[in-house]
Amino acid sequence: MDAMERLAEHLSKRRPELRQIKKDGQKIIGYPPGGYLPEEMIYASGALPLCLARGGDPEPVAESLAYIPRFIDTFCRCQIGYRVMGEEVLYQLPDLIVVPVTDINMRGIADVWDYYTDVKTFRYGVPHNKRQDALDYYIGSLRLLKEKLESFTGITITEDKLKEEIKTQNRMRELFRNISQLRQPGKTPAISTQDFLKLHHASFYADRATLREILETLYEELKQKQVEETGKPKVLLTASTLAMGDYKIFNIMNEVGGEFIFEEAAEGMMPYEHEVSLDGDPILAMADTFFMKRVVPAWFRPTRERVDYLINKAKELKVDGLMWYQLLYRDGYDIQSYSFKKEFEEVTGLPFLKLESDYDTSERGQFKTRVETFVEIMKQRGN
Amino acid sequence: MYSNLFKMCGYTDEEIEEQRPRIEKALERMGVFNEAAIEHAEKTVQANYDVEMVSVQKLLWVFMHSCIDGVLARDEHDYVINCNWPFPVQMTLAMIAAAREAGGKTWVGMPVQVLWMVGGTVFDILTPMLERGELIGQPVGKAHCSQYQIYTGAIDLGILPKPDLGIGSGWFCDQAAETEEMMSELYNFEIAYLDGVNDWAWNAWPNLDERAVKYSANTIKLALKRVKEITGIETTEDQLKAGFKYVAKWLYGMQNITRMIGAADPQPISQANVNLPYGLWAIATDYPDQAVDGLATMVREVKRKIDEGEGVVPKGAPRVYLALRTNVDTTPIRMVEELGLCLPTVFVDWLCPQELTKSTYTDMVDKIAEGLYRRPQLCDASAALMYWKTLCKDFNMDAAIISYAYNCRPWAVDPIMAKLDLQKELGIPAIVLETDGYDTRNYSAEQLRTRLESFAEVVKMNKEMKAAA
Ligand code: SF4
Repeated sequence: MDAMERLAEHLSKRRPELRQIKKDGQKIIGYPPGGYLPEEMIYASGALPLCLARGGDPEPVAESLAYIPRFIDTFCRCQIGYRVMGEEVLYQLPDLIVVPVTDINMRGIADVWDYYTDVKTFRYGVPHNKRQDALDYYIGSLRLLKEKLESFTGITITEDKLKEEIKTQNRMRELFRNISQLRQPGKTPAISTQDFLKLHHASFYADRATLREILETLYEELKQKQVEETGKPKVLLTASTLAMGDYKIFNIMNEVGGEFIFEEAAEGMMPYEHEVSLDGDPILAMADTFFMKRVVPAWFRPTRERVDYLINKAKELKVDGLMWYQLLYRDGYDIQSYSFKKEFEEVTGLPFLKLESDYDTSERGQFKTRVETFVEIMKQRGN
Repeated sequence: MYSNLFKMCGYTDEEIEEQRPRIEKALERMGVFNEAAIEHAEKTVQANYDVEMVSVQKLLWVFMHSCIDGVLARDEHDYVINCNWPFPVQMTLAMIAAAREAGGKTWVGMPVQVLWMVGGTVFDILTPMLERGELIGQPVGKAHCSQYQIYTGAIDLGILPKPDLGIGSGWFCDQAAETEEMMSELYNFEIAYLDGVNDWAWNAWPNLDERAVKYSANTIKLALKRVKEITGIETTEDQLKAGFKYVAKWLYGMQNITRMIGAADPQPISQANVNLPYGLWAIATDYPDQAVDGLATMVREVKRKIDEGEGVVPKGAPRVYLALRTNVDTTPIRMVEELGLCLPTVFVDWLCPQELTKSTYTDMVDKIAEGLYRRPQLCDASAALMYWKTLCKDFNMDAAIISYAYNCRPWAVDPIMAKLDLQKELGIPAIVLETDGYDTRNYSAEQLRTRLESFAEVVKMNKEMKAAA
């Protein structure tokens, strides 16, 4: 059995396992994806982190209409749907929800949990710039989170324990980085971006030790894999949210003969690009990694860092085009796409395609036509 | 051509004469310097307000003056600073005073707020601005803030000047700051952002987390510092205090009006007219004395109408709370009243007891930040829910119309919760209505009437049944 098969098998048993863990009394801390919550803190408190990142299904979107108006970002809106429909056990498990509030859509997730369920939230705001006062605020929030977790679990988070967890998480991040780097520019990736994304999604609820072992093996397997040039147009993907289950654009890209070779997403991936330093105060070190080094999402102001990052990435990876994937009503992404497109096309001369989803099944046909044309354009330019 | 219109808006003949070159330049820029547009404006303003009320004229005067100043800001000043909504009014007022003291070369204001009031309820010219805004990063059908579509459109069409510096509003809503960020890239001007973190614990309001208040306050300080670095204009503590004093006077007047209308039976004036005093909160006017005079005049006029038993709805009409004030068009307000429902108070006009407790902060800027978040709807959903419940109890409402601006993300989270809360906890009927504060194209009067008509029947029937029981 290869590593990916082992992972699939592990995940297929994970939900009942998690139920048992809860029954056995370990606290489960749910949180929405977004990358501003260091999981090591939760592990250090003796609780289990569980990233609630399901998306892509139309039914929870429809269900959510009875709870929250439809003008909130699709991913954020449908979270209450997953909880109330009762079909997804992951949404029944949390004892506490921690919400790093990045924008109003994210705040909406916290509000519906507080209003419609008996699970309480702990919120901390993520400022929208990287000035010193903003960093200080984030640091303060991590300290409050530590206190909250300690009081919630009754376990003191010692510096040693936290550093131990950071070390473990660093190894996980390193493995993700190593695997990601096997997607070399100009070569067919050893692992598809969709599978790479699925590893991230697995990390949201898999047993960490098992996943780590699987990733170690997977990395070794992938290193042996022959990579060759296939001539497929290479696409850089940027997204507001890449939710667990929202694989429509990946399938379409596959079908029409293009290839994502790298992705940047505000939500839906484990932050893996940077390690957390083990020197000094671990809270400061985590803030440096999770807040300062993190590529800013489109709702930051100023947001130039993100624009430059994507343009540089496109050049560095020698991609043939960029796909901008956003969910309906994620205003920051919709607004930024306007000025970004202009600049991206001007600076790189590459094509840009924007797709917007409301997790609606009927989108598929339209998406496919547009991606097909996009891939065709890239192919023609490549000749 | 326009004398009659300007007189309806409180101008005297002498003033019109004296201001003629400015008026005409501004009208031309707004595309309304022609007979047809002026005739349309006369009808529009009369449909929106009861222009025979002296207070309405006085307040319209403040808005018209402020609008012309905003449109001509670049012609008359070397440097333009725009403060954009939602924004602390005290801060703008203090900056206006500081800029004036520094010699008046710099213009500071909140031009888009004035433009939506005047462009909407007087000239009815917002559609082309909205349409232009829709072409600039805020496409139609994606629930973008219509206020910022107007702002972008007005600048792109040359109605409002491009500022040299924008003080961006990101402390409460993201859309404002995100749009400004895009505009700063497109039009190449700097933005100093006010920021906020919006992480209030559920049901914590009115006890506001000091850390979050201080974070926002610091961003105000940094913005003032940036203004000083660029223009040399320093805003002093005294100027901030004067800003507070004005706001206190506004609050006093506004609460008087709200309380009097709320307690009267029949409802003495249309809530449509209250758009004007409410709107003062959003514009940080350069004419504070005239604004306060307009408010005081409205208080007197309301009192006289109550004393004389005048009413715009039948005595004993069911009392209904309307949750959104459509700032650019008073049609929905008048429609509810025409259906025989009394609107004791509308939107967030009323200050609830939790808002009125004294601030414990001593620093003026901290006070500003705290004051912003003390407004429940500018804090979080649990605060807004508390406000609605308290208001409906306090005003003895028979029903609630939870109308909300669907394209305003911060206010689009809680309407369904509000409806459930009011029905469950107070036992009053409530409907949720998607509408818009700044774009009349987003609701059809006919459709609105159909829903409101049937709801009005439910409310009346409920009231009758309660009385019979
Ligand atoms: S209307 Fe809503 S979205 Fe628009 S600026 Fe005001 S708070 Fe922000």
